[in-house]
Amino acid sequence: MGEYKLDVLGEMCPLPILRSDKLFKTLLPGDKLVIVTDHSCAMKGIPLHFKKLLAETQISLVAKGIWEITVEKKG
Amino acid sequence: MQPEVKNVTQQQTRDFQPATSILLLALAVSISSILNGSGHKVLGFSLLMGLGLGYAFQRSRFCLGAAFRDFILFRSSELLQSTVLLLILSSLGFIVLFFYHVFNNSSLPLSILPFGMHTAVGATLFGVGMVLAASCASGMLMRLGEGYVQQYGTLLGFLVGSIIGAWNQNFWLPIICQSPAIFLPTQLGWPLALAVHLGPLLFLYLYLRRLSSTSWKYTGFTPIRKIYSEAWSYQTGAIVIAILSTVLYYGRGSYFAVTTGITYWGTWAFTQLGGSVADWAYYQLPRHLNALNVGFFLTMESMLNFGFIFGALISSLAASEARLRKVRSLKHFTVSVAGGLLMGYGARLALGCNIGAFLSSIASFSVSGWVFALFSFLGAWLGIKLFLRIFNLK
Repeated sequence: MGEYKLDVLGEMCPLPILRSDKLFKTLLPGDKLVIVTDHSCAMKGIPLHFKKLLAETQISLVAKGIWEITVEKKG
Repeated sequence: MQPEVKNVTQQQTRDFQPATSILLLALAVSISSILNGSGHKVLGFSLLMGLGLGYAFQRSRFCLGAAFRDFILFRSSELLQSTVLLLILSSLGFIVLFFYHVFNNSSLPLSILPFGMHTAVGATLFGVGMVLAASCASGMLMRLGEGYVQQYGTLLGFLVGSIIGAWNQNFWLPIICQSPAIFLPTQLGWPLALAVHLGPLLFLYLYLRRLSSTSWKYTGFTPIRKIYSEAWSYQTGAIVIAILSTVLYYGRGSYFAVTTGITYWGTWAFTQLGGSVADWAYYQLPRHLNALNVGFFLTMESMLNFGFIFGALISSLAASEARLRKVRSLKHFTVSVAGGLLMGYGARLALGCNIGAFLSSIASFSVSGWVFALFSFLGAWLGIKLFLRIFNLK
């Protein structure tokens, strides 16, 4: 039940999705990936991307313009 | 599996962003009124519509560049689907405007772009550039408003590329003038044109449509903030943008486009640095000669773009998302500048970006829009290959 943090602050599309996708593939079921991004498109694009990969997503606006997106690997 | 968006910031610090957004909105509307009052109705109107469009794009995270890119890269079709919806709705808006004018014994000013080698080359370069820059032209304007420092690099490249492109029109204009410009209803008659145009778009839309749409749960926001700050769905964005761009076309007689305005800004900078453009073929064209004479900023193109940036800023502040996003690395910045350069030059050749030469052109039943779509798609594909190599991914 590991939790991994990925900092992609300052990175613009499609880097946040590419990097998080790469890391997600190495995770085990039950692991959580916390993506820290300041990209407004990513707070929409990342959940849509992981929706197809059977993951549960939660988004938190933790500071002005910074989101923490938690992706939990299922199955 | 509903993504839940939680607002954690509210409890922590006093938030001045929403109040700032209202102040800026009031300021922008005042400027628009002043322009209207001093005989510059088209300028004031363009500024106002720009505000609305910038707001709508930012709020729905609508990026035309990403529509192609994410489809190619991730087989992700949500944005592309909404882009097709936007094309369909904009086309319907165009039809309404066209026949409104017919019934009033007037004619809608049309801008049917000639298509040819210049479109193929320009659109391809634009496609490559938009992937490298991580945004298209409207996306760049939007993110300038949101505070992405990297996009200022893109803007720099875009300005330079635009100037080079405008200057290079000395070479390209003869080719452009010899190229065909086809308005489908003239060529095929309205019934057949509608079938040929709307048929594929509807088919594409239904094909891309996902059975389950993602709905979002927002918590931790006050009821008012929930309406004011919620990110819109791509579908909502498409509907609002279609309405606003149709109203824009109706009000000023010229469709939604952004790169001419950016070219004017670049040229202004160029002239400030001592350059002269009076003998360029581009600036002999009546429309651009006029811009030169009024100093570039008092043009509807420029006003729309300013409005767009401000609209995006206001939207961002309203949702407490505005932030000066620092550049990740010199590499990120440089790639973005290069992308901007390619986009600026490519857009001059293709006579527009994916707003003017794609969105507005397809909506205007101009064959050039489809040519741009095809080649910018190709460009995006090439750009992705290059991008992945540069950032050592896959």
